[in-house]
Amino acid sequence: MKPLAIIGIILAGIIILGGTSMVSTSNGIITQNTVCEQMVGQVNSALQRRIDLIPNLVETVKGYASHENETLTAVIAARASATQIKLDASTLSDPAKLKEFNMAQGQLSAALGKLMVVSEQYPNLKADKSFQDLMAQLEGTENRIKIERDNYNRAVTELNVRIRTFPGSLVNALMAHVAERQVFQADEAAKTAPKVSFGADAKPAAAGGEAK
Amino acid sequence: MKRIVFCLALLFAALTASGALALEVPANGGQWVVDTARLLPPAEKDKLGAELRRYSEASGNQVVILTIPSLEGEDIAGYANKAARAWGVGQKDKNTGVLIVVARAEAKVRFEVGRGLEDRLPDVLCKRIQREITVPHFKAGRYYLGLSESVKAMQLALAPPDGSAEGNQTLPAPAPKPAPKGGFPWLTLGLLVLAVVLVFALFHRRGGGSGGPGGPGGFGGGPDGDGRGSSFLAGMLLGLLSSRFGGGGGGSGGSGGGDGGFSGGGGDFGGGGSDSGFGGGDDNS
Repeated sequence: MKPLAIIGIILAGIIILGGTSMVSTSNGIITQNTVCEQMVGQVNSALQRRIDLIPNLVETVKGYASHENETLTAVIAARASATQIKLDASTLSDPAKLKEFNMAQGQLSAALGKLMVVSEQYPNLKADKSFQDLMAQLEGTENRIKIERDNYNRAVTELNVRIRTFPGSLVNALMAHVAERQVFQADEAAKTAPKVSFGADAKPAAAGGEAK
Repeated sequence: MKRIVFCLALLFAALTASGALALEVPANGGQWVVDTARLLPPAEKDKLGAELRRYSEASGNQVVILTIPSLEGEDIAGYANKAARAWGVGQKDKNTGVLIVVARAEAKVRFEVGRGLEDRLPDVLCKRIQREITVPHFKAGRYYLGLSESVKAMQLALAPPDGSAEGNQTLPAPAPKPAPKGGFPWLTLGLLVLAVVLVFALFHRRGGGSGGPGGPGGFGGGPDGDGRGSSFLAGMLLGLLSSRFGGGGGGSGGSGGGDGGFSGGGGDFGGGGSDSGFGGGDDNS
């Protein structure tokens, strides 16, 4: 075999392989992006769950603590504004919009936290079966939101690292064209997950939304 | 290189921020009951484990118990979710697993319910089981009874609604297969072809003999590193071209326990379930 032919074979091999691996990397990036998208859905459904829970909660609390109007109105208002800003692709790629979204959700959490503190003062309310059930659900919902957020953040970080580092960055620029995604900031996530504890040691500090 | 380091640092920071650091999940070792807090005498632990195994064989749902001495400041809900996923409790596609976590120092118990069981075992029901069964028993120090009765209550809730009891979904615990990465064989095939071509070319050029440097199987550990790559160059290419770095495999189940031992199917958990305290004074949180 002539040296030229050998070089030709090697070159062809490299080109074929390079192409193959580029396609496969590109597919990988797109798959990861789709997974992230799906996780947005999970976060959304957890948030929706919380929003769906509120009318019932407000009604139940109203039954026992009707003159806590201010707190109840605050919850309803916060719920309304949280419903306004949807978490979708445009929100997620725009830091300002994401911040706004986080604010709305954070306010809702704060309002709910305050409602919890208020309900502390009504033993009859605390003893109500349906209130207890709602509390269990709310607690579960907050937990789901947190977990889905963490899942999303993890997936996004992985994707971002992949499209920022070498083979991925090149392939992404040439083929996949996937945009970097924003993660939920840790502090905002913490704010939006108040501890819904209504045991003996519920702290009034929860009112400020800084509940830990 | 700097960039990679930077990105890895970012990744690490993000993981830390989301609370993935701190408390480790103990190795499962194929057990249905992992009692690192030593709440159960060995005989009771084995009995409970046998009950859980029987239930899993009959229903396909895996219920696993983990007790830990302390949460070390971590949130029980987050920890339970992490542990449940690390062990892969439940079947992969159905996510039919439940992990019960008991933290001794904090006097907390949590049921972490797999995504596939959330409809039959909703948070409210978990809370009720905890309030009415688990917590009273635990408060009195009857850990075995508390756990076993709670599991029974769960099984009742999880029984198929059509009344034919557990008989109709007899699915053995799935074997822990490492999840294959999609699209990978293609790449391997290409690399093997290239390796053959290269070896062939080298062989010809040198006129026989040496067969290329029998190098180490490439750096960066390509996926599954099956040690077949005898050519150093092919190994290099494998390392360079495959953008997936290590970590694959996924079979975290550990499964050592021979037959009847617990082996995670890779079920997923979305934070379903509920937790309760069973400490002295507080009665309903």
